[in-house]
Amino acid sequence: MINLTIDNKPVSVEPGATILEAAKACGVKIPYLCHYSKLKKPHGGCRICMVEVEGNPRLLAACTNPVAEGMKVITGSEKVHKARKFVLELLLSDHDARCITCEKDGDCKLQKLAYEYGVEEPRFTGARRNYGVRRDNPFLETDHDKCILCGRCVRVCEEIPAVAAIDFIKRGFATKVSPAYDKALNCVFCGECMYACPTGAINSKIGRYQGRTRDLKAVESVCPFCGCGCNYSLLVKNGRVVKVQPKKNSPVNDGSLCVKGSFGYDFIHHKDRLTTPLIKENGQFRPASWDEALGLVAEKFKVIQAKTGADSIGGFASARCTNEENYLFQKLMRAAVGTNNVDHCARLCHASTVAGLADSFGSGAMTNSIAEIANAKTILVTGSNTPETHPIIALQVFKAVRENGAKLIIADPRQLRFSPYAQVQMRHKPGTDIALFNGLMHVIIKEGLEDKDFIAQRTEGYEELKKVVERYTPEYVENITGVPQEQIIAAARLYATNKPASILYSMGITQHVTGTNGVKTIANLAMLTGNLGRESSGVNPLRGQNNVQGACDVGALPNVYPGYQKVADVAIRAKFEAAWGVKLPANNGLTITEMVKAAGNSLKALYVMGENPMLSDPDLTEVKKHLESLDFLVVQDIFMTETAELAHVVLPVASFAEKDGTFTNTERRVQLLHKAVDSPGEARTDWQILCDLSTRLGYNMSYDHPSQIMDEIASVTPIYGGISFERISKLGLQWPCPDKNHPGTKFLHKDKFSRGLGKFFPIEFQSPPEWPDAEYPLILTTGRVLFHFHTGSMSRRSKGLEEVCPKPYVEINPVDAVKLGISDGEMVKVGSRRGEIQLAAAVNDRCTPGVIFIPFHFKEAAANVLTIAALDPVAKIPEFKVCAARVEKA
Amino acid sequence: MNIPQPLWQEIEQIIVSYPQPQGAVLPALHKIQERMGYLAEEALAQIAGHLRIPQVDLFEIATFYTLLYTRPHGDNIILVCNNISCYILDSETILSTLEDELKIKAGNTTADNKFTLQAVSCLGACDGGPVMLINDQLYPHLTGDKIRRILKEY
Ligand code: SF4
Ligand code: SF4
Ligand code: SF4
Ligand code: FES
Repeated sequence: MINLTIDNKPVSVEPGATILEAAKACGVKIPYLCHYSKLKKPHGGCRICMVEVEGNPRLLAACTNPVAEGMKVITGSEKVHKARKFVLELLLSDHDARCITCEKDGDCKLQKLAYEYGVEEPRFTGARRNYGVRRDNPFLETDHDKCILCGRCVRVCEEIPAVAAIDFIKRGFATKVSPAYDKALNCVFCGECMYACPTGAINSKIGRYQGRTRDLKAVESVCPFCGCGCNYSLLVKNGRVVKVQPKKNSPVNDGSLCVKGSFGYDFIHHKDRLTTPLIKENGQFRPASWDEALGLVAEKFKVIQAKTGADSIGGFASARCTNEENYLFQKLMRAAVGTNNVDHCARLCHASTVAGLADSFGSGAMTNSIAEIANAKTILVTGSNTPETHPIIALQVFKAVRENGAKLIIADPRQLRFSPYAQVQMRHKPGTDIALFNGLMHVIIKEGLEDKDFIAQRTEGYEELKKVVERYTPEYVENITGVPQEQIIAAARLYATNKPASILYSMGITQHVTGTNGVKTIANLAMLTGNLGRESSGVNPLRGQNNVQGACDVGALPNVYPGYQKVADVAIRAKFEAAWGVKLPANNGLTITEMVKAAGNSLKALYVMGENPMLSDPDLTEVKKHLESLDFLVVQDIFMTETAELAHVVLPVASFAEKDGTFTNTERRVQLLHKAVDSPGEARTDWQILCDLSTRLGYNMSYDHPSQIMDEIASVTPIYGGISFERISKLGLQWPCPDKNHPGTKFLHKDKFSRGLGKFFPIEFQSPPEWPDAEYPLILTTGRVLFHFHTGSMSRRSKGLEEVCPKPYVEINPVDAVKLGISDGEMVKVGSRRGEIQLAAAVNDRCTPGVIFIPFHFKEAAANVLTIAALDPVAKIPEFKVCAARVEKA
Repeated sequence: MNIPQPLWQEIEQIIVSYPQPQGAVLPALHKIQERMGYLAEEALAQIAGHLRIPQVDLFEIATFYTLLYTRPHGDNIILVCNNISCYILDSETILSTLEDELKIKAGNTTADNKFTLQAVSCLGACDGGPVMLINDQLYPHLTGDKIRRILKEY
């Protein structure tokens, strides 16, 4: 430790600390402008942080100069004051100080300093830059004449999202911050630059003129747009969310957000929000009272229950809703209706993870925390377009690779934003993952790189695995996957030897008929190399929706109660019967995909809470037919979705900003959201509706507040045993958290797998159900894009998101495009055995030749009209990632 | 405008002769400008991709140096010094004379594409102020008449 004094205050800090850091440590304030603590290196450009150091005739910049033993720093002298004032006078001599209409007024670092140092009239007059304001992108407005050229924006953009969209251009007096060739900004629009800017030079177009910091009330919440679960505050004025502010030092997002978090919140106040219950009469919706609507639902459910039995009713819970609401939903279905027919869209994304990892390890969730990724030595990303689907997790990968020297292996048919950083990128054919990873394991075993101790002490079934992968020689695997042998060998060596290694995967692995097996194969690979149960080393399924982890955790699944406790287990069932005071059904319920198939046949009524199967499920033409033949369909949602349009009763609900509750993010962290604004019209929270309906069904449910529901969850769910609203009020807790004193669990399977020993499953590669042929010669794969979320019911109602990405498109490789005579932007027809859609062609090399990609967010060209409803036999997850298709000129 | 194949090969030669990709930036940009006249957007994107340096960083460099051009320019480039020594010797009048003669404002190109006029900071010839540089030729001790005479030579 180095000892020094600052303004006579003694302080000791680590060697290498700067004077500014030392001053912060002992509570002495030194102003700064160009310095930004989120950045690795200090900049030393603005000179506002100057201090005097005894014995040194020059003033020193506190942000760049390191401390020294015995140093005596003086921050408040006349000399320092004059020098700082001089800097401010220079800055203000070329600053368009129109604080009256500035978005940053009251929160601007320059304004604060000018006030503190009493810079009335700038001493220097003369020419000023006059660049004006640029508004030529959907999200950000740049006022160059308020820019002090501190460079924070330039540095964050390069360092945090690794985009480098902007830089200083020109020089001297003419310098400004701009994209190349002074064009309109075209980047990932994360907003990091805006959060970093100390002045009013970068503003959100979405929140402009709607309230400045001092007029806004900050309400802590969790972004509803993906499983990262970024922490932020909703900034509220006059009952409206007008801006957001990412939470600094959050272990999830550390002050960053992606474009959806930063600019997508305006869906909350969209004019399309449902405001009153609706009942369909003669094919038309008419407004109804809550009493009438819920009365009707209860009556219908009771009649159907009496006539065809409880199992002819099903329910879709929601990965968008809170844990409390999902808990009540499954409780209502099980205890009040009397069926285990409850499921949610996890079926369509990670059901195979839940099933596969439960078999291999004993529990199916991310083994590690988001923040651990940055310290992995090798990161294997497969079947996950992380930079677009989990932007904040991608930041950790960028950090690992760019700052910490980690090696990146990508196994994905598509080119991703971090592909240029990959040591090895294997672009295998969609649907051949199992062969590919068996190939990696073959190489690892052949070269003796397996972790023998780990295999011996922590696993079972190794010999069987060894036998199966023996066949998967690099040559053989190259034949199946199209990946050159050298790449397979290089990836295998890197993953097995450069430890700790972490695998990130997502729907590219799970959404196959062989999804469960794909997941188990990944688990095999990790166990084989001992890359498990340690910090920064594990198997990490990235969950898509904001609360898909939580919805699974609290039992919105047909075969388990909260905490993955099996319905089939008599003792468990008895426990829940005692807790809920009612006899519970013994048979496992139907999955989403099975319920859709049964709809109109054995299933008569469906209760859908915040899901949109009419866009999210495979083979939509079939789905529609089934949903239309139901006797009774109830949908509760914030918007009139494609599914709600088919409903008999539609119930308007509160959005995430309008309620208290918890979401569990992909790293198992249970986090709190708070009510920021009132719901529009008569919309009510899902949990209140559920209580009301359950009571009407004769099973009494009443809670004063969601925290009581969480207390009940904790009492019946061992992994949530220690969780309460009070404990997570400051910081979320990661399950397993069995009791009130347990600190939560950062990474899983430390000394022992949840199931005891980890189990190897020998798995053979199996071709996808549909493979290209003469008639349908291309492989169609589907997925998400950065700017939209799920079926777009929220993101497509956000002004900026819709403006930046308004139209469906199909990505097609130039090689195929030339063959078909298709040019970029041209309208094309894409067809499969199940249907046809029309959309624009995006000709680029993101897909390999022979593969096309369509994002599934767009109802006007719904990718799921084309996809095949073939199911994984275990997890019942559909094959969204591979089907045969053809493209023609429209 | 993309970089034509033969030029690209020359640039690759330049790039491999530097141990760090950053080192190759300026020589590569010079080479492109020499052959293609200016640094077209596509050309810069190609170099950026190849060197794995963000395009905007190359643009920063290109706009920092007065002698690199990111837009097409006239057949002849006139640079007039407006730095302190020349300024004292009335470089302002020199510049406005040129603007009047060419009927354009500094920073622009004449309609016949013959001249591009630009004011710059210091041409390193303070002893000869006021000075201008046309292409590679330096003209010291300028006066209005001298300027008119010189322009006729082009
Ligand atoms: S929004 Fe993000 S990517 Fe775009 S310029 Fe700002 S920091 Fe860079
Ligand atoms: S825009 Fe803001 S952050 Fe960027 S250089 Fe200017 S003042 Fe600094
Ligand atoms: S990364 Fe996900 S949670 Fe974070 S801001 Fe973006 S959408 Fe929201
Ligand atoms: S904060 Fe130290 S030089 Fe800018």
